[in-house]
Amino acid sequence: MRDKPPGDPSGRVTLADLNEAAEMVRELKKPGAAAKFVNWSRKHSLWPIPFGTACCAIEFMGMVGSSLDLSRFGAEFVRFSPRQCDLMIVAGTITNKMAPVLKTIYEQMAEPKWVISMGACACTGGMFNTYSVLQGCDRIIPVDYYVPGCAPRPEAVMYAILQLQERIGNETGVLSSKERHREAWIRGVKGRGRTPKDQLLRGGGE
Amino acid sequence: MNQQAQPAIERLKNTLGGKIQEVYEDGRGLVVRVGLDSVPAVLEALRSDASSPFDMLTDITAVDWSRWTEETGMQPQARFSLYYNLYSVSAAVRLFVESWLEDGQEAPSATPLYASANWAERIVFDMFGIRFSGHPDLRRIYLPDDFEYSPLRKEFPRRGVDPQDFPQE
Amino acid sequence: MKEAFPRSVECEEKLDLCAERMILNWGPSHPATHGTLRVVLTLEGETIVKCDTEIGYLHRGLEKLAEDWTYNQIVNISDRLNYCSVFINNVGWHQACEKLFGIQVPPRATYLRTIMSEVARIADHMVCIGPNCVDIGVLTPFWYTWNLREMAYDLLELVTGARMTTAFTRVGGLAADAPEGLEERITKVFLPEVYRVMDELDSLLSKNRIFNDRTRGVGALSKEEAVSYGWTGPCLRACGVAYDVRAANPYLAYGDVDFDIPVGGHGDTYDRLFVRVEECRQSARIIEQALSKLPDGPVNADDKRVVLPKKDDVYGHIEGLIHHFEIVMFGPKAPAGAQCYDSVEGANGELGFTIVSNGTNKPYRMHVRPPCFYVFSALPRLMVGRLLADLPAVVASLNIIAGELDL
Repeated sequence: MRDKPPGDPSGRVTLADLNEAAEMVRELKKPGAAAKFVNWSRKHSLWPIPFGTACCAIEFMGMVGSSLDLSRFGAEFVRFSPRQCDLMIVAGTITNKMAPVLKTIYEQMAEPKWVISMGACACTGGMFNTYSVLQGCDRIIPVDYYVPGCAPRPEAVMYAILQLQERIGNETGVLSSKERHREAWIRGVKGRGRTPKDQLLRGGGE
Repeated sequence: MNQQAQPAIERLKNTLGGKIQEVYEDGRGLVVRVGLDSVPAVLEALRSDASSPFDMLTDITAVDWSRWTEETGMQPQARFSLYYNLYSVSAAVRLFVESWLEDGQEAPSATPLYASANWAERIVFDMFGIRFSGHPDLRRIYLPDDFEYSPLRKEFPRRGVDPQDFPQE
Repeated sequence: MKEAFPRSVECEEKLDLCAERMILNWGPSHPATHGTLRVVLTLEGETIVKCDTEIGYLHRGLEKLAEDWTYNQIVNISDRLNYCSVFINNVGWHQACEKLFGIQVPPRATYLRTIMSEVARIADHMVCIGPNCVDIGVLTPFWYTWNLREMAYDLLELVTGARMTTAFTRVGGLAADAPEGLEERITKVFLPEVYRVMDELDSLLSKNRIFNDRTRGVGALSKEEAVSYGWTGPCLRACGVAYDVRAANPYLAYGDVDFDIPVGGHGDTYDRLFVRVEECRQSARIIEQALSKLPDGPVNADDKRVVLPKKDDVYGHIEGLIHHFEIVMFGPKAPAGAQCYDSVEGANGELGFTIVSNGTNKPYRMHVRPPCFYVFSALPRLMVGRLLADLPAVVASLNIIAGELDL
């Protein structure tokens, strides 16, 4: 950011400045023709893997149902095989017992992959601040979009998927999850304190 | 519904009167308190009762009374109590059998009598650490096998022994 | 004729064609596990020889959490038990609370609770039947049942404000009265659709050859065994035992309405599914009758200890203000030493709540008796000797909701 924005001698940063800065960044990193084609094909064929554990899975099924049809946006096949999917929707509470399973399934997905964390439990542990619940799936996997709600309306998750499609449309070049989520990976590797992975290995109770 | 179990209790008193410590009524209905060792005999007698056989063991609940004195001032009879929730499907009658035990005591298993006791006792073992002698497969059911604590005991903190905080929180 | 290779007796005994047993892990992340279950199967070819289940992948420590929350807050926990038929859980919890507190709920509230419970029951049965068909391979009924479920959601949203996690009951009654136009909405829009979808399911499934082959005789359990396993609800009724908490111990308005209890003959998957279809029809009957008898009046008990006073009382009188403050800040307080158990007919069976009170605004112990926990415990008994392909059909017909199973 500039130290002194023009027109404002006090040096305050206004919303207009932020918008301008974002515009500059977008100008610099615009996808070329090949990237545009790849992005277009990726975003309109996002196959979700619903990692549905609890109540949010039912709202996800509501989104897939015929009233709010998700497949009109390209998410035609809801496959439960991680090898065939590129969008993981973590829907529901992740417990300490389930966390290694979630991590394994995430790692089994092929690049490029995105994660939407649906519902309060997947985002932060929700209302279950107890001994057995993982307080947010972003402690073990990097998340692209968080959808709040308990359970969020299916329209909200659909909005997240549409936002994700827009973001995919702006991607430049081939980025792996590691590059897209660089900070989260660093956090996980360097560890801000004890990582949940250590807790998982030790059974969560120590 | 509450008083309908009275005839069954009378029949039980005739056969196993010595084993019954107390019969009282509260919000659960009629409750028969027995000693820990008499539980299988009493359950068997109720299951083979003449006009209202208690063929369904709906549930086994345990309560940890270790904070009871500090919270209410009343004195509990022991550390733990086990409630056997019995129901007679043919007669639509419900009855509770209650038994008290201390920490470390082993309760007799009801698995030879009711198939539902298998998993119900596994929950009690998992959550409270109460062992059941004669249970064919007593292991944890909800928590991972290497979890070292009994979460529903009153001294176990709700967020766990090592809550998932980031250091700056 | 002389044999080319004379066989000795010893040789024949050692000849074992089904030599290898395979261990197959089914779940916990699997399309047909309906949440998070794990079944470890020992297979000989396609036949299941041994079946071991593992649950607890959604154990959220609800009973421990309930010891830290007030009686009106715990209704949110009850929401997340059987999250397909949420209103029934709310009613079950608060009914147990009212028994503990010794409060009578006014008739309008009991009728409204009955009506919305039955709407939730229809929604739950749709969740069972739709995905069950998908697991068997029949994708079409899923869309129809889900449409009906969306209509049930619209009704729930109209009354409670939320589609799924309603948390609408309070100690002493309901959070608010039903809106205008509910009766018309239900009788003109919802109920005809219920009957139509049930008839459609009948026409799609009951005579379908493949569906019959996959579900008749599959996963059957006898009456005595089902009762011994603690089965309740549609699974028990499919085995032939007509036990329904609504009839055996009538609560809410079920004593005032007329309904039949559908009972199956064989206890197999087919019976379990069609008992649910028939129950939806009976639920529609109950809703119709309850709506026609819906009384006027308040929806909350007239008890200042537990029910929020009216706003003009709060702003006009000091006692109203004090009661409002105490109920909002601390919640209603139950009598010390009181214990109670009360059960309702959940969509899966008898949902019971055991509460021990220590005289404060939070329970000392809250225990949930989950119906599908006991239903699932019989899975090894049902699956041994059957084929692998029967497993999704049976598990889905048992309607295992992990939120309830894993407490």
